Formats: sequence, C-alpha cells, structure tokens
Amino acid sequence: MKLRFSQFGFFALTLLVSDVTFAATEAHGEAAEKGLPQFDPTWFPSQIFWLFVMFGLLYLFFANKTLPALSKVIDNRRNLIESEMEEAENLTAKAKAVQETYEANLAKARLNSTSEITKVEDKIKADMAKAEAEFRARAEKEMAKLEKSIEKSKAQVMAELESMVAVLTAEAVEKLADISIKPAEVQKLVGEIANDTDTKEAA
Amino acid sequence: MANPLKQFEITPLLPLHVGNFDVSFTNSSLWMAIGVVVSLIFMTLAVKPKAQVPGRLQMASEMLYEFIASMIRENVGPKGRKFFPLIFTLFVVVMLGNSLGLIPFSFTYTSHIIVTVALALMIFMMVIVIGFFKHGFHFFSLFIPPGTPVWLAPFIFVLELVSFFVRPITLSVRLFANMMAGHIVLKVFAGFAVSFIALGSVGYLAAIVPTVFNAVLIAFELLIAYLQAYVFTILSCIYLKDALEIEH
Repeated sequence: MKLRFSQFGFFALTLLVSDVTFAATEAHGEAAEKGLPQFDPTWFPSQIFWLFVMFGLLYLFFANKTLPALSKVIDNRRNLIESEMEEAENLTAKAKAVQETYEANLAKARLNSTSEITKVEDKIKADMAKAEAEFRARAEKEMAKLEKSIEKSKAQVMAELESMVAVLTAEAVEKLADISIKPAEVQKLVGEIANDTDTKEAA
Repeated sequence: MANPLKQFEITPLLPLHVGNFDVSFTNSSLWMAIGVVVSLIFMTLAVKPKAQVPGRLQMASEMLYEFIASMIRENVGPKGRKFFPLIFTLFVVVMLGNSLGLIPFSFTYTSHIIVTVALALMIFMMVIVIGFFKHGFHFFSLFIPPGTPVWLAPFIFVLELVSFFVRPITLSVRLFANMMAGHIVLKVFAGFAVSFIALGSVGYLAAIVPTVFNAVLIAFELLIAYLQAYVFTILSCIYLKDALEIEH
C-alpha cells in the first residue's frame, strides 16, 4: 500500500514536471495557439487527394492482381481436396465391391466344395454298393455252382454206392450161400428196396 | 519536452498544385505511399508461390483473405461479393495507417480527421448511391423499421434519419479519436522519459518507469490499431448491407 502511494506520488510528480516543461515550450510560442494540427484546413485537399490516389492504386492492384490470384489458389486447393476426397470415396466403394465379390465367391466355393464332397461321397457309396452287389451275385453263383457239383457228386457217389452194394451183396451171397446171382439183379432188388424205404419214408 | 501534438503536423515534401488546390506531397502522403508499397510488396511476395501447401507468407495473406471474405459473408451476404476488393482495400489502408504510425518518427495518417472522414464519406455516399440505384424511392423505408406503429412512424423516421446521417461522423471520429489519443499518450510518456534523462543520473533510473509503461502501451496500441481497423471495416460492411438489402 505504501509502495503504491509512493508510486502514485512519483507519477504525480512526473506529470507536474512534464506539465511545467510543456508549459515552458508553449511559452516559447513553438506550435502554440494553433490547436490540433488535424483541424488546420490547409492540407485537407492534399490529404484527400493523396488518400484517394493511394487507395485507388491499392484497389486496382488488389482487385486485378492479388485477390484473383489468391482466390484462384484457394479455389484450386478446395477443388483438389474435394476431388481427392471424391477419389478416396470411389476407391473405398471399389474396395467394398471387391470385398463383397470376394466374400460371395468364397461362399460359392464353400457351397460348391460341400456339394462336390457329397457327390464324391455318394459316388463312393454307390460304387461300394455296386461292388458289394456284384460280389454277392458272383458268390451266390459260385455257391450254386458248387452246390450243384456237390449234388452231382453225391448222386454219382450214391449211384456208385448202389452198384457197389449190389456187387458186394452178390459176392457176399455167393460166398455165404453159394448162390450165383448177377449183380444186375441185385441192383434191381436194391433199387426196389430203396424205393420201398423211400416211399415208406415219404409216407 | 516536445509538444505531443507536433507529431500530427503536416510538412510538405514536394509542392504540387492542381488548379486552386494545394495537393503537395506531404509526410502524410509519404506514409500512405509507404503503406501502399509495403502492402504491395507483401501481397505480391505472398501470392507469388501459388502453392497448394502455403508457406508462412502465403498463409498470412490467405488468412487475411479469408478474414475479409467471412466478414463480408456474415455481414453483407452473398450480394456483397463484388465489394470484396473494396472492403479488402479499406481494411488494409486503415490497418496499415494505424500500425505504421506506431513506428517511431513515422506519421499516422489515420489520426487525421480529414482522412477518416474521407473514408467514411466514401462508404456513406456509396451506401446512398447504391441504395437509390437498387431500390429507388423504396430506399426510404430503411428509415421506418418493420413493425412500427403508424402514429409513431413520423417520429421514428426522423430518428432513423438522424442516426443514418450520424453514421459517417461516428465512424470517422471513432477511428480518428482512438488513433490521436493513443499517439498523444505514447508521446507524453516518451516525453517523461526524455525529460527524466535530462535531470541527470537519478533521472536515468527514473526514466525506466515511463519507458516500461510505453512498451506496454505500444502493445496495447497495436491491439487498438487492429481493433479499430476491424471496427471500421465491419461497420462499413453493415452499412453496405443496408443499401443492398432492405427488409420488407
């Protein structure tokens, strides 16, 4: 507070001093009693004249040179930025389209691959079934053939057995009872007996 | 100590007469010319590169361009486009007059009432001429704001008329008074420092106070220089809008 007062006092003093010196110079009569130089009309025409000359010069230069150049530069930049933004947007759209086609292709390929796989699987199954069926048919055929041959050999064996029984019987009869009998007859008998047992069995 | 008003005195440098008028090239004209040369050099150098990515100088000129452009856009509207060079020049002339005057031993042409009056009257005349040219007799409806009761209309008309004709006076006196007052204060404080120094060794120390104060004042005056140029220009824009657009 004290400091402030002293500062204030200092300023007051300086003001006083300046006032005194000011008054002194005024007393010397230098530029005194004229009032503000701004209100002296002596130079009004010159001021106005040169102001408009300079203003006009500046206006002509700005209007014809500087401002068109500046606006051109600014417009060019704005156009460039706009066109680049547009291009960027186009590229983004393109990239999006590419991605979409890629995804569609991927989905299609996935679908295709599954159908391919099922197709192959089906083919394999069909082949297997065919092979199995063929195998079964052949096996059956073989079996039938085998059975037939077995039957045939059985019949043959049986027939041979009959004639063998007849011969043996004839020989046994001859040896035991000294009765000479022809195997053909025995065979006929055996056949009759067999037929008898067959019919009996059938009955 | 020097007279703080001495800085406003005009001294002829080149005597010149046109008819009966004395249009000598004076120190005031010299500083106008310096302002023109400075702005021409600055703008030419700034625009020269025409770069897509501007350098500092070009950036400064573009900022000035955008500043005035947006001022016109906001205050005059799209019709104000053709006045862009005029408003631009007006701002540059006032701004340079204000700020070049802060250079020691220079001359502040905007501290002369005749200069500011000439600029204000130029705008004022333009407003009247354009107003009548565009709207004819309808221009007078500017003086009766929409929604005025009929019985009040004559009174309002007179009031608006007076306020309209006061415009160039306030416009010019505002700039002139600001510039003159600022420069007188600067000069007075500089004078303190000079007279302190004359007192001797103690005075040298004491002179620091007004010198520091002056340094602060110069910064403040720079702000005022810009602000007054801005105010002058924006008011011109607003007056111009009156001439271009009459609501109702």
